[in-house]
Amino acid sequence: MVSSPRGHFDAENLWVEYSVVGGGSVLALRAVDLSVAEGEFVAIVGPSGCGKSTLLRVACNLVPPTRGTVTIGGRSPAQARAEHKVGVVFQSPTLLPWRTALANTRLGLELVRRTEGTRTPEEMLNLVGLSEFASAIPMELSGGMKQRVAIARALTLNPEVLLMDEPFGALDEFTRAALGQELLRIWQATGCTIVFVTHSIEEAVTLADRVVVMSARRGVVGEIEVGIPRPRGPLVMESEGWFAAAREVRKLLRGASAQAVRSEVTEGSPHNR
Amino acid sequence: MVKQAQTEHEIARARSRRLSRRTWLVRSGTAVLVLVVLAALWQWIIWWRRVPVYVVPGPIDVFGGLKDNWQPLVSNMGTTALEAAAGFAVGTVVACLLAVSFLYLPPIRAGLMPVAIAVSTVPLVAIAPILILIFGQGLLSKVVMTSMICFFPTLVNLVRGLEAVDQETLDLFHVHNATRLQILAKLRLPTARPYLFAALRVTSTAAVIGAIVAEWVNSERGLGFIIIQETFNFDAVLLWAAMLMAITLATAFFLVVVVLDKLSSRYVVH
Repeated sequence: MVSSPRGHFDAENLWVEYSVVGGGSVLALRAVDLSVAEGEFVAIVGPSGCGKSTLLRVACNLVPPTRGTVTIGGRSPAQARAEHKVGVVFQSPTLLPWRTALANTRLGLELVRRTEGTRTPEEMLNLVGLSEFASAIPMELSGGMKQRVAIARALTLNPEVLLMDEPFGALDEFTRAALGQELLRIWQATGCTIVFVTHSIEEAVTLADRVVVMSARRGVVGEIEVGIPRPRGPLVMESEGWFAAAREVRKLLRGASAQAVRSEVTEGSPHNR
Repeated sequence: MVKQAQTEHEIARARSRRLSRRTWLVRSGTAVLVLVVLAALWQWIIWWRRVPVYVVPGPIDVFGGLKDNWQPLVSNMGTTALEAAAGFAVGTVVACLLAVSFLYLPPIRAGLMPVAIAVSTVPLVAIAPILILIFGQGLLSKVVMTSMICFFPTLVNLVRGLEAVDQETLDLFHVHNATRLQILAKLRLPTARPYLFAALRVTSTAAVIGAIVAEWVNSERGLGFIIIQETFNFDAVLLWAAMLMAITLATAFFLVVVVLDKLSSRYVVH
């Protein structure tokens, strides 16, 4: 495996198994192989329980792999975390309610106690378009605005890889579309690698260079190159390329679920083994 | 368009502040009015049923008693206040230290929590004589009493509050390699703040009550001492006057906690 100097995300034969209270175990990830090039925007799509969030949690060093490895820029998740090469945005904004938007954006810098190679919170808040709301508290912000603060917070540490776990999942369609466009703009401005987990096929195809399809018991089912040229405006969802890519993704997902039903009938549920 | 949103946002914030001041005036005005009406009703019943002053004095007689005995009443209230405040401080500090150690040292929690529960279930009136036997007639026994009262509710609430952080926020801190001290200072303590004040609201008045109960058992000074003494002297006016002072003292303690709660809840990290 070749390690590159910057922004390369790699999962190799990754298995994650949790032990369950009362004995037995749950297989969260099964033989996942994934490779993301520097500066690429990759979306991971799959139904609930396919382990896409677990993959991100392994990359953040919150969950240890049972087998296999994840490397970020050639480093292990623990190392990458220690060097703050990884930024994370969760589905809920996790803003501290007693801090203003600016203070929340600054939280990463405070915890890390480092200043070299970082960006100022004012700059990042400006990048996400919220500089007028710097002194607002989370209670006064909408869901979309809170998520933008969370993105700004992740960006202050200038990460090589930005891991996003269904960041727009709790928002309405219009806000999601607007924030998607914002994210593309921010991605062009910062040039970081983005691994974007979502359960929305439309969102994945609209935003990503490549869509990785996962399923519950089969790991990575396949990958689709989204051939739509950039920059992609809001009307991209009406282009032929978009429909073609979405069709391919859906085909992969259908095939995977059909396989899963077949294997359950013949082999039985893995929980009974 | 963003400028317009900003101005609307500022107006909304100012408006919410202005409303609360007017509401506050209306509410406190109503409370005072209710008290005045009740006092008038009390006086009227006394006059109507011709209740003798040594059974139940009316508010006029009680205020007369307050005026005549102002000096000794205030000085004894000072003693009770000191006992309550010192016990409140000691009990709260011990509870805070214990709560933090419970959080980081589970064996200590397993060992000491049952002891804490046992201490808290002993009734005040039973424990007061024991404490006086051990610590004497003076202030110390009362301070120990009130510390014990103030300790348990604060401990329980603070432990709950420190653990009430949600997992995703905790994950966020871990992803940034936050130290335990950073997590405690920046996440757990602010989360526990409302839980702490919920307990302090209870213990602040309980401290005053506890000091008075301890004084009933055996003391030479304090509002509780006056209440017992005037019961034996059949001086109902002074008895009621002392009770009124006790109520005022407990209410004052409570109000201090409420004000501190409101002020600290408004504190925002910029």
